[in-house]
Amino acid sequence: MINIKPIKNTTMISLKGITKFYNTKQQKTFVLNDVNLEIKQGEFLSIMGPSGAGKSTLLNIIGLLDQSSEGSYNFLGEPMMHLKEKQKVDYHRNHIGFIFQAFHLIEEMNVYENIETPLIYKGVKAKERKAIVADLLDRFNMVAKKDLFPAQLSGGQQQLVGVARAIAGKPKLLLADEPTGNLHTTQGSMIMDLLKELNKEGMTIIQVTHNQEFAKYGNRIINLVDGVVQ
Amino acid sequence: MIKYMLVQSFRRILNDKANSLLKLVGLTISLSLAFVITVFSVHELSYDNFHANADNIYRVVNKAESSDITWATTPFVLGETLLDNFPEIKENVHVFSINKISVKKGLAYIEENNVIAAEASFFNIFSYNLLHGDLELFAKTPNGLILSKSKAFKYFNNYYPVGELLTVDFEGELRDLVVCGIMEDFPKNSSLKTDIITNIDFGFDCLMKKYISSSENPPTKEELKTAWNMGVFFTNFIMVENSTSIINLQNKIANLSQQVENLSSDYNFKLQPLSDIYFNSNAYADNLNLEKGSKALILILILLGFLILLIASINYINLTVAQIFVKNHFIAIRKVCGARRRNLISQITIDSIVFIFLTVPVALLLTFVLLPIALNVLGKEYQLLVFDNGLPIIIIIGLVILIGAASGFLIGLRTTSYNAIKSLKNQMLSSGNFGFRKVLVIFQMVVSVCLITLVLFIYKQTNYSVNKDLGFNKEHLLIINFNSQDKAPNYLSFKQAIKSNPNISNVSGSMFTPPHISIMSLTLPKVNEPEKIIGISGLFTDYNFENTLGLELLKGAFPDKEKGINGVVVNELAARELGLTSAVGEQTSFGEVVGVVKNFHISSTHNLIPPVMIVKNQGMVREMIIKTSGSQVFETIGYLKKTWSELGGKGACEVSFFDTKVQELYIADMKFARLIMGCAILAILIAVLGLVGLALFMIKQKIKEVGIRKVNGAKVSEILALLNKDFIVWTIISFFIALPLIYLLVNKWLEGFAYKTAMSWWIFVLGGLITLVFTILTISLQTFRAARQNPIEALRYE
Ligand SMILES: Nc1ncnc2c1ncn2[C@@H]1O[C@H](COP(=O)(O)OP(=O)(O)OP(=O)(O)O)[C@@H](O)[C@H]1O
Ligand SMILES: [Mg+2]
Repeated sequence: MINIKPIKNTTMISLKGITKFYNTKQQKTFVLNDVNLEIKQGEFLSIMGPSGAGKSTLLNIIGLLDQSSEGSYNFLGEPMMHLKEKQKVDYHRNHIGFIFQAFHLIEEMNVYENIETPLIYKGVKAKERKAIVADLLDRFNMVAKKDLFPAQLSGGQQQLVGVARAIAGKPKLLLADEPTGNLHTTQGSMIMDLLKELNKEGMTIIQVTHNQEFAKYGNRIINLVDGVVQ
Repeated sequence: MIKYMLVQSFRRILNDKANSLLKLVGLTISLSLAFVITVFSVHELSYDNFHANADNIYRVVNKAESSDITWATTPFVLGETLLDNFPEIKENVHVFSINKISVKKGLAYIEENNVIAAEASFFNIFSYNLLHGDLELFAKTPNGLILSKSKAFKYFNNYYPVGELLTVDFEGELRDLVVCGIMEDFPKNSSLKTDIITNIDFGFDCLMKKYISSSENPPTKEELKTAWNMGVFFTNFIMVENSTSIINLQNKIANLSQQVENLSSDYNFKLQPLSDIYFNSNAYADNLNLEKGSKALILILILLGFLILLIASINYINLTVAQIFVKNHFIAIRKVCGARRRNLISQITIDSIVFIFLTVPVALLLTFVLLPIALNVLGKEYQLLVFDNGLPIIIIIGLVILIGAASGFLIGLRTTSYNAIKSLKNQMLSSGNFGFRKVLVIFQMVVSVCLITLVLFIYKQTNYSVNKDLGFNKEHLLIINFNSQDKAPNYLSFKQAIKSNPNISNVSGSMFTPPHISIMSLTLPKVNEPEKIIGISGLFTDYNFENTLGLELLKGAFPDKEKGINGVVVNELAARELGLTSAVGEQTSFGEVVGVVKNFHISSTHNLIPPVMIVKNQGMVREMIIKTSGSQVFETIGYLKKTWSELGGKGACEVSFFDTKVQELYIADMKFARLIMGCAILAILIAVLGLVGLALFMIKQKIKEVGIRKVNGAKVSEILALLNKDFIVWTIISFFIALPLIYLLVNKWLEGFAYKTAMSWWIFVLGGLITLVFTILTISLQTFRAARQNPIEALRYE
């Protein structure tokens, strides 16, 4: 079982004046404009908004995959601006997990190995790795499928593996960019139930979704329009 | 962890079979080529290094002041003289080349080559192993011999025929020789190869018979052993004490003439280390039939091997980078999972090493096939086995690891520097990586263009050489080999017999027919300054030689037996060199000058025309030269062969066309051309594989663009132009980069020729065009399909 004991109501993420722009044809295109956002530990936040509003950009900035042009970002009290590559990797190894709309599983790895990958990079011992992966397989009812490759799985199953891989390293924060975007509604609900359960166990989750129903799984919903939080 | 990475590597290789295959083929071919070159080079570089005393063995050579060549032969008496005078010389052996003798087996006689005579000390100096028998017995038995193991079996059907008799026929005389010992067969990397070593005494018998018996008052054996002027029969090897200063010893030997009676100061003895003999004896006149090697050849081969490996590695790098960019989340997912750049680079490096290791088994198989072919192209008579020596496989494995690690590291650096997020957003990273790819592809093309153009120039030069105006009329000439006089009919009666044939207009003969691979040097005093000795090329011929070849007479007349004109003919250069004023009528030490001819080619285009003196000597004729009418050539040859046997010729009558003889002069050049051509073909083949791979990737990237353009009415030709444009531009850039390189290369290569073909611009253009056509064909095979495709299909890829 994943067991994270967050101190409720303490701030995990604090974004102040986050602005992101691209220089296109001698003119700035603003993708995010002065975003201020506080996210507490144990929250389940849903971000909604029209296409091109900057949702993915915001999520990527939070996940240290992208950098804001202006503003400040604190994660667990630490400033995240101007981190070195190496420090970012440490956050990815220990604090942040990702789920993607396109699943992004490693095609030449089977289910077991896909889930194991972050643990290997984290330097977890083989025995411990085995135990963690076995637990996850068990929990997601994937034991029978552990030797199959991504191409042999349905979309929902692939996303299950994606979730399992994202949480294998016991991150405090799980970022999901349209995790159900490529799935049928039933498969989508299954994934959402899973996220809800994880959140109940204490994991902080931020998801981007276009689906009103799925957004309600979160305990807070924000709307992003043209780079501005409404 | 390693196992985990290895498994991943294999799965990745299998996941993209087409790409993997393109990379594998190129790497396998180049690796097996590298393998062949390594096996060959390791073997060549190991010549004569198996002698335990290798560092202390020297050959005494004579660099006479008056001549360009160094004689590897020295007087017999020198050996004892050195041993007596210099205590640091421990051993000495005289080696005499008997060369061919016939050995009786049952009722038949089998010809054995490379037979030598030597003293028992031969085995103290050199590490040729005696398996059975007794050296003391060999030393004491004037008609004793040591036989190699394989010849022992050949003649006696067992490996221990010590004490048995071997009957040999030496120039018609039968002799019984006693087997005193059996030695192991000489190793492949011995520059001296012989199966029969007789006692030196038998060597003297042969020498008396072979060289001296024809002379009017032959010297006795004793005289031969002590004469200082008999410098061309024996090779003296010495073995010195450890840590002897060779420079000192050489200086002392140089002063020997002051101490020794009758030792002419014309000798200039030098000590040549054993390790030097294989590679550095090209300008040496030796009579032991030692094998000779070329360091330059090895260098060229290693260079070519490296270039081709580089081309294949570039393919590997280019295609793998493209592969990673196409599956562009390869790096990103792992980064998101917490991989450091270091983890990714080592993963890719392991991938590369594993991948290149996969080529080893097939490359090895290919090497087994290629090795004999390569040795044949290189003109080597020996055969090698891939595992004769463990060193090549170790070198190859080292090379594989090196290439794998280097290219993996480069690919890793190249592909992991991108921001993870970009590739997760499925953006094709096409713009940036093309610069890197361009450089690599252009390098491959530059090598291809250079090699192709060099081959074209070699062929042009050879063609020029073969067809060059030689300064005489080479039409309708036939040559008959009279080299082995015991097999040929009598030269003069044969000549007399065929003269009357209506298809034969002129008959003469010569030591050799110009142009010839080697020339003979005469030394004689200058006519106007008799104290000055000069060297000029000599040509010993029969009468009528000048007319048969159609040499152009400038002054005087040709020697003519009937008209009683006797004397020598010189060419213009010789007349000047000898300091002749009116030339005709002046005396030289070879006779009165009766005629002066225009300069003509006596050797290949590698050498300048030397001063030449034509001296009449029917006894030295080894080739008959026949001028035919030019019609009924094959009837004439048939007639010659018939007459040959009618007049008692025993062996086959070897008639050759003059043109064939000329072509034979350039065999070495043609071999070199074939070598470069082989490498050029391989280089291009491998580069083309890479281009196919790149074209496939490019098509993947542009398939949508192609579809959209076609929907908007673009023609197939326009689409082809769009897809081929980059490759054509690259080829053109490569061509211009290659130009100066080719110029330098060809210039360097032409340095070896005194008469050179022109560096015509069209050859450069042709080389470039060939590469361009190759490129366009290869690329178009891929792009044509893409361009012809139904646009709807292309757009469905979305
Ligand atoms: N490299 C770039 N250069 C210029 N503009 C960019 C770049 N990358 C993204 N953008 C712009 O940023 C904006 C926000 O993109 P983002 O992916 O965050 O949108 P989104 O809200 O996730 O949309 P969707 O719901 O379609 O996924 C878009 O308008 C996009 O055009
Ligand atoms: Mg998005």
